[in-house]
Amino acid sequence: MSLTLLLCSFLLIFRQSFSQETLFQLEHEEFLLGTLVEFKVIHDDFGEAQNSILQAVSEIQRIENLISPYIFSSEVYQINANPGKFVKVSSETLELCQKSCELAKLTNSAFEPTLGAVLEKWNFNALEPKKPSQEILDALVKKVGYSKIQFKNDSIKVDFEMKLDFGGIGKGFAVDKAILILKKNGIKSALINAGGDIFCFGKNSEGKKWKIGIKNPEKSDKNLGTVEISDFAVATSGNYERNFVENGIFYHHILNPKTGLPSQTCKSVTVLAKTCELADALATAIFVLGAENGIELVETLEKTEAFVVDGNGNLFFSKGFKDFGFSEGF
Amino acid sequence: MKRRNFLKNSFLALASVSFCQSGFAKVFEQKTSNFELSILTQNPELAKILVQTILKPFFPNKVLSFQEFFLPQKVVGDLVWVENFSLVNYKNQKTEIEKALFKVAQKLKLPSLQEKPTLIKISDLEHQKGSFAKVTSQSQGTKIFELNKDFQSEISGVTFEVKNNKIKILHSTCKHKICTQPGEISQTNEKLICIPNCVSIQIFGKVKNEFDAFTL
Repeated sequence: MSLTLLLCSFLLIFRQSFSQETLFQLEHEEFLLGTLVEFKVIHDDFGEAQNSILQAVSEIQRIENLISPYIFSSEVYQINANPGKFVKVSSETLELCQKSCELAKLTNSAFEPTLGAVLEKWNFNALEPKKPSQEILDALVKKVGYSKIQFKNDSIKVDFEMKLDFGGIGKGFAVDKAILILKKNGIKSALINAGGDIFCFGKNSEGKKWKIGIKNPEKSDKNLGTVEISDFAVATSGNYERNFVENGIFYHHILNPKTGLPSQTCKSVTVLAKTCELADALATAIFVLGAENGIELVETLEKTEAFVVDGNGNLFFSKGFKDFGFSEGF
Repeated sequence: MKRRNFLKNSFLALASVSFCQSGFAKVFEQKTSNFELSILTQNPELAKILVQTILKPFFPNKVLSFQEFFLPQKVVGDLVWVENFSLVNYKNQKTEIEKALFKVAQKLKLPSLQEKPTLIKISDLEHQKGSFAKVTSQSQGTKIFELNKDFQSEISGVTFEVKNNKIKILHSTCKHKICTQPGEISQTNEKLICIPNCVSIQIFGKVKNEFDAFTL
């Protein structure tokens, strides 16, 4: 009886102290990394939350200025512009390049950071993109390969006709760096969403795990499903982001590094992982590997899950995916 | 500076205010069942402090929506208190909340002419009826539209249509028109984005399915 009373009073005190806490949820969005980046921060101090968002925005801008192949002053632009020469880079660019090589090795080059020259030929950002000739693609694909990147201390060198492009991992990498800033500032709960590459920690405004909808690329008013996560990342790769139709054939931006052609194995791949860079890169890799090979790879990795919609619309799940509060549809 | 203004314009704060059930809070619980408070001031930082210190006992166990909008013109600033869809003149000081609002207004020296003020809107999300679309343009700031009224509008080269509680982009001046492809949206936190024109459209308010974010 006394034990029950003791337990009840403890719960009451806890509930009371918890309920006295005033939390603010701040939302902010900014166009960064070639997409809309969304920040949600839940914290007990309005000013600290506001400053932390500003710092997170600055961090993503800083990373973008280092790794974007389209910014003249970026380190990646300079590496690509100086083939055959070692270019001194920051610790962040070096870290991203080394991690990309590790992931390329893990995925047997389904994820490749050296596809820059091939993507440049496809030019999906052009007003009227056109499929490059097979001869050009064949020649460029021969130059692709993470093992050809050379490292010397804090410098990186690429071969002639090879270009780095971190499009398959850069957003995730930048999100992870921004999350580190928020955590360092003591933020209790936050979510950063860079065009579908999401990391969240703590709890949402309802005191529950963050509820993430996985969009159905073919039916805009319906979802493929929902996951509920905390201190976890989720990223999705789909063939609907940048694409065009030429002579009745659909071409999209996720290329098979071995052929230089768009991978036709999947429609959508969603990956859950402990870091956003891993989720981002694996989503791209599985898109190229295909549903069965991709799920097989994910099953060998700890705390990593995947959900794949293959080219025929069939759904594939890794064993633990549904443990993340997955509910299908609506 | 431009980015800073955009940042300021697009901050949306939801304050989850929970208090212990003190007698003071209980007395006013029924009186603040459905409200919207707007403060137009050139001193938003002081306004936020006053809201937290003077007004928060009036909002027990609520989820409050805090929104900030930067206004570039010179206008007369004041407080506007709407309760149960009726405008309440706080200057009458008949109720405790009116007295508290009067105190806030005095400290902010309102009403008076305000240069480039910030509009702070605080409302009771739990009791909001219907849902809304927040349209944010990097050059034109943020505008809020109700989804229960059908109409068409244009912001920064993006033409959008609200129909049957859904919103979609009809046309955009951008190169690839990717923003027109997703079709209509109607779920909380769903977004339509036109990256070249720096326009985002987001659903918020009370709708059937509520998500914190979407991956696509």
